[in-house]
Amino acid sequence: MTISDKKLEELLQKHFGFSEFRSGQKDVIHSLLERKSTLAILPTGTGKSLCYQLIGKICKKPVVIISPLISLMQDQVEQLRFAGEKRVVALTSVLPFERKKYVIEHLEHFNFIYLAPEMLNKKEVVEKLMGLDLALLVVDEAHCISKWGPDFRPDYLGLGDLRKKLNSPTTLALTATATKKVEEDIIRILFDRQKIKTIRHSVDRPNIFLAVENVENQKEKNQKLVQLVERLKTPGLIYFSSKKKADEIADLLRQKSKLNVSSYHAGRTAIDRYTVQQQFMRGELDVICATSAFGMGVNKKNIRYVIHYHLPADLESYLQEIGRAGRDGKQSIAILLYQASDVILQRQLINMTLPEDEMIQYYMDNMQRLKGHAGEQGELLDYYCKQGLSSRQVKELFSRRRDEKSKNLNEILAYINTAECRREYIKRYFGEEGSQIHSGLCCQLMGEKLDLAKLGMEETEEVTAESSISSNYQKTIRKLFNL
Amino acid sequence: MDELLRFFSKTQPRRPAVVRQVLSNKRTVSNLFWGLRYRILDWLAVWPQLEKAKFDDSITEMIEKKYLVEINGEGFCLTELGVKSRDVFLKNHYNIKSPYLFCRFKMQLWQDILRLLMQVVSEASYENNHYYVVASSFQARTSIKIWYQKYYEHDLGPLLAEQLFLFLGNEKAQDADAFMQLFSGHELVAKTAEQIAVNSGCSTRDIEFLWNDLSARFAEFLSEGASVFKNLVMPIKRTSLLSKSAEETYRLYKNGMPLSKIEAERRLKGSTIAEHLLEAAIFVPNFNFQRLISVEEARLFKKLFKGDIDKWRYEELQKNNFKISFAKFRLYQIEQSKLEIAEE
Repeated sequence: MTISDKKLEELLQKHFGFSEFRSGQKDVIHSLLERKSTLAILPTGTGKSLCYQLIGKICKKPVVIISPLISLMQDQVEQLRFAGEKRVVALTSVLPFERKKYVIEHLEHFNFIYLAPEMLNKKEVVEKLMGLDLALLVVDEAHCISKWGPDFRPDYLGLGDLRKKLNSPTTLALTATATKKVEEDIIRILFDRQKIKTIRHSVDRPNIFLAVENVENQKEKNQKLVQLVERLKTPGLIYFSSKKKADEIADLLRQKSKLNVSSYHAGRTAIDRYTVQQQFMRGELDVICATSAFGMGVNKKNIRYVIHYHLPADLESYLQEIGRAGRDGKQSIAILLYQASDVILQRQLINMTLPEDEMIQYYMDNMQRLKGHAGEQGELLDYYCKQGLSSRQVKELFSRRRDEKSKNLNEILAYINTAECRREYIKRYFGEEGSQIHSGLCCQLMGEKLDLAKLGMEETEEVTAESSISSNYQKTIRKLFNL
Repeated sequence: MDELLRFFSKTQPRRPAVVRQVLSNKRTVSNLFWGLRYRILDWLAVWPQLEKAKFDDSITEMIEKKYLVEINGEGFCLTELGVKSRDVFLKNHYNIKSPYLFCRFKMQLWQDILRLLMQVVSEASYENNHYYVVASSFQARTSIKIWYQKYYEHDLGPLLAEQLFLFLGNEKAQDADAFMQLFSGHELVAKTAEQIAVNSGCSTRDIEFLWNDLSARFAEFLSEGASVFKNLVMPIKRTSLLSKSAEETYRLYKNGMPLSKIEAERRLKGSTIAEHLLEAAIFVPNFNFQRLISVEEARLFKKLFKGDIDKWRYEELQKNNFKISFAKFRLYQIEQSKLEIAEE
């Protein structure tokens, strides 16, 4: 099917209310309409999901989307519902049993079916999918397929087989960041080395200034953070590796600044997360102190800065997270606060998520007894046992993963300590050709002072915290119900 | 957690574990019985998320501060200092007015429904159907959907506003203001409990208690009224405080079925049936005790047990070789406790 650009823009306006496509979207949509399976490597913030959503609307056939994160799926479902799409569902483990059963039995009723990868282990789900005439199969966050990637998901390894079972429908693999190695893995595992179209847009976001601020200790880090937050234009996003720290710093910033600050992480209730996200979207919050639970699916255009309080796990997730700044194209900034001992915390996180040899041996020796009681690590081990791997092979595999993660961490450290242009470093890491010409708006070189004024990143208007006078309930009721 | 002081008495030694288990709705007949003795059963399920570790830490702290003192290994009593602290706390914090309502409604579901109701009616009042639905369970969404399909043609905005004005008109304005800030609607985003607490100078827990209390009382208000919202509340109102299984046993018992037949019918052990009936004896007003305690047994109990019910011991019966079950002894304690409470 070929559709002219003009017609596509009309459809975009009709279904989603946007007047123009963002960079990369049109290429992907054209490729899919020509029924070419496509790997789209588009930086975060370019509206990747719109590509398959519009295809679904145009083809009027179901679109199946495999997605690794429940929260991400729920966000996407809400966005589609917001756009008026009623026949959308996320088939995940959190769905109540009865509803899950109903959804599986009536899968053909839905236009957009989001699936958690573990759902594909269910025979009845795969059988139902085999009976559908799909417009498109989408593998979101396709980098999870690669053992080289930072977010490797074992369940994703089965997606190549699933695709074959579904008669190799037109497939869209989506990711924001993929090195050459990851790209090769996706093509090999998902597409069985078939020739597919790869659309790659640069990971570089020229309007985001890159900076690293070195601090000696925790106290200095907090002081530096408060100074930055008080001076920077808002809204801003601060990332943490720990929920407790996110809460703690949100408290500190509320006390030390006049800004409206809140925290967002998986430890807060669903209603609080909804509320905080909506407040941020509507501009009622200046700063969010978040863990990586925040962000996927959040499409706020005017985020001026992203600060990392802790070290990110790897450059891929760092790019994803800082990519939430400056989606309006205006000058923005990404600052990584670095304290040498942060590396220890990151190494601990690696050890916590990957089982040690002893744990592997113990689990495999006592599998029947421990099944279902060993948390995430147990699930992971269970998966490999099912694949028929011996304990030696599993140990080797996790040892490799640990090495991988250490390597990723070293890449981040190299980014922090590089004496050259940071942007150049990132582009080279992601295998992008062409060299970067360093300028004053590009990045802060090692040892350089961070000049926010020169970047136009300083808040010039007086910030006033929201009035603390509580609103009157009668007024609230009248406003709520348009009286 | 000075709010825990209200669950202790100056004269009656009370065991902290009972307090914790009543608040977090951990139901065993023993907990329920002692909850009845401590006069705190109205607070059943008021604090489902109460964590054992935090609770234990608070008790230790209250002992260290000399608010509580242990009495002969029987439990803890409030000291003079404890009474003062309790009174200061109650004066300065939100007081739950109707704790007994918390287990009269399926609270979690109701709170989801209520938030959703406010948003749906608010957006409909502005004829907007493009909005991010507040986080809520599937069950809540289904309840609202079914209800809304039936009533959407009514002018729901003014109707809901009317109910809210009537209900909140009887509350302190400050409480009503805080309550209404917890809802999202058209072009209006709620505040979190934490944010309201910061703005109003109270604690986050005060706001959480206010939210639970007012939402439960609003459910009760709607369920007793005749508005279109009554049909939304009634399905989540509990008709009985008994657990499902105890309810079934009690139904058969009430219909006159002999205990041996109930055991057979329900395929349950005699001890389980006895537990169910003890639960019923605690919760059901006008429970028929005479059917389970014979005149002779009652006479014997009366002779053996006098004074403080807390101090009665089953061993007394065993010591004198009376072959009466513990369940009957407990039943008698429950009956006498209820009479005592009725006279207070």
